[in-house]
Amino acid sequence: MTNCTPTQCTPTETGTVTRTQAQPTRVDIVELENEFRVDADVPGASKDDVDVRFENGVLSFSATLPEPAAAHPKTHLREFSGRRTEREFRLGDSIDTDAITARVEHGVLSIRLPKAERAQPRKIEIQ
Amino acid sequence: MLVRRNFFPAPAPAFDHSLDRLFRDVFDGFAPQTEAATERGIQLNASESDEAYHVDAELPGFAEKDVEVTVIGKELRIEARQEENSEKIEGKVLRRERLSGTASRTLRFPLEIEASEVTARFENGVLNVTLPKAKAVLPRKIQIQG
Repeated sequence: MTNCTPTQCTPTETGTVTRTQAQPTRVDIVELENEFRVDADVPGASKDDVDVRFENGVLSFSATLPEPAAAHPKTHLREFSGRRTEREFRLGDSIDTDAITARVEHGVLSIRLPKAERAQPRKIEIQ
Repeated sequence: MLVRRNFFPAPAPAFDHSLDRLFRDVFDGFAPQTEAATERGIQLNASESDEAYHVDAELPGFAEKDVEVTVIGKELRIEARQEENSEKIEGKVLRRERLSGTASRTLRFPLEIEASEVTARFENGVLNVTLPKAKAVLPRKIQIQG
């Protein structure tokens, strides 16, 4: 028995504590005929620095971005730093959740979310 | 007549920042909200040691061939240029927050740069540039003659 109210027990609340320290990941989302594509900025991160999950209808991803090259004595500009970034989305039931795939390349996490067959456009034969 | 439809039956609780509401709506089959794309430039870190300036630039999604680093006099120019992804042309863009297309940033340093010795490295979407200061401007220790 967990010690929380029903609202707090929903997936939307998972991980709230860490989230307050993480920056939201910037994303592009494109809908194609058969799938959704999510590209998320994880500059400096390789595959091992990124975590992608699908749990209780929620797609979540987080990454630990490495600290850039050693800081030198005099700092002139500091517009980014090593940090934790994360974001999560609730998926509708139009996604084939078993077929979700993800890869990391050039500091971008790309997630493909195929639509379930029943959600794809279908041409109806006229009898 | 104005018809109001309540797309969000239950108001989101105040603490529910975590869930991206827009995207949730998209996946639930509602039309995406229109929202001006978030403009963003290249993010830079710059620091200095005795011998050189060091600049890091975040360029996620760009490949090495998309990035041009130029040094003229005391200036460093970083330019990134990317062909538009064909999927983004064909597909329906629901969210565009990432840097894309062409972006550039120019930094001017107070001291001359040894242009021929500038090195750049690009890995996982992060560019590191090391710009040695011109030898003529480096501090030099003078031996005191006895």
